[in-house]
Amino acid sequence: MAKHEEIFLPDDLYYDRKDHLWAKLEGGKVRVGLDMFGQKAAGTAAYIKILPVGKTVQKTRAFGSLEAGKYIGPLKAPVTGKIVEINNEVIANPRLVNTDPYGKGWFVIIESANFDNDIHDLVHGAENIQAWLDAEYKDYMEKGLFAEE
Amino acid sequence: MRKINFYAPGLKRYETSELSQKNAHSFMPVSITGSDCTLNCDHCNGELLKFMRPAKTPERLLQICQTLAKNGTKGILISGGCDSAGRVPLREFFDSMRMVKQTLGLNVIVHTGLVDREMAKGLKHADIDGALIDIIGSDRTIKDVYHLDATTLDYEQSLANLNACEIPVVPHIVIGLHYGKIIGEENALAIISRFKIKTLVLVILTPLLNTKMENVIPPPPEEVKDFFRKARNMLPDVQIILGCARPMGEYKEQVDKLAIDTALNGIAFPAEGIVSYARDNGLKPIFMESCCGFAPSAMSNEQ
Repeated sequence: MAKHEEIFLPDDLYYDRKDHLWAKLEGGKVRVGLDMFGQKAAGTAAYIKILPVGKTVQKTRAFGSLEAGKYIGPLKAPVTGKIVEINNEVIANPRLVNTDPYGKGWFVIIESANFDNDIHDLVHGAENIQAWLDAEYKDYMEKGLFAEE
Repeated sequence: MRKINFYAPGLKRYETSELSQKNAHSFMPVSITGSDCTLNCDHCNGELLKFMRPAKTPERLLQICQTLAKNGTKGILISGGCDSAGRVPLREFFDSMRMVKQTLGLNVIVHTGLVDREMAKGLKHADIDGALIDIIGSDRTIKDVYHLDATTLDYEQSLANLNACEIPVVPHIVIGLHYGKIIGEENALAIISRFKIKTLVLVILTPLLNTKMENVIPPPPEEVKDFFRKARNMLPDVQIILGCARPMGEYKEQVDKLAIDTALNGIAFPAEGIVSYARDNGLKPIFMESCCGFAPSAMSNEQ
């Protein structure tokens, strides 16, 4: 598992390298959430909007939006496909994004149209994830995008 | 065509379908006390300070600002917790603030808390671009929420001291500060109206986790609208802006529209759809990545 101080990123997930959404392959479906690095940078989640079940989303396009202490913006799909399930629990209690990012804090499940094609630019594999996490941490600290030091 | 300003400074990363930042770290907050605050007011409890970079010594402040400037930051907000007298302990930082401003070329805006004459002179020496101060119009709120042995006269005197030293000051009013109730806000407007002020920022009580107000209900949008109207009527020549702090989600969408309906002059981090709403109401939107209190006015031809 990749780790930097209190941030950890499980090895079995795929990560969007810019927006820090994670994707987990579950059969032909993909569960999507925000990784621990992303939630630390975003701050406390306060409001989440997600497109309804049945909508088709394109990779890199918004499937919803997040308002948090340090981030207001879109949640961008890591893969193309149809939304088959949304997490109403996280909509009702956005703080789950912070308290349980890889568990109850997930956003949507997408029926992926072409997972193998969509994952080519996602970060995967223990060494790759660790290297990416270290680089991201350094970049965010230099730019002052994390509050704590 | 009347203009309206929309601000997205680097205090948050921000992107909607209508507006997005080019530089997410153009304007950064720093706390000279870290997350420490003697008052631990009921609405904040030091929680807001946790989002700021800690710089507890003048040397550390300079060091942080050097790094920020190198990475494209254009301005900083120097904030911090208060001492027991309601003042941010800024005195030992005046020289380093001056260096940040004059050597690094960053805009320097300061959260002051209460300001005595000596602090106002120090801020003048520091050559800051402006001071931000929350004006509270109710002695009861000062006592109950801030736990502070002060009165509204102390806030009025703070404005007088800043004005006397010709420091640009942008007063803020927190609507609903008294546990979600609007009780002293109109008096705060009256206080502000007695001074030379170009810009007023209105924010709305946002219940924060780990504070005594985490379960408080913010003032209803209709009451907020009434207060926007009062502010507009009492201060017709002052630029009035809806600032960063306000509850999110549907509440924010409502009050942002009300800000436009009541002819406020700007909105920080507007909700999705508000830029279109402004256009539909005949306004010309102007986008800025600077702090709303010190950007060119929407009421002038400066832009």
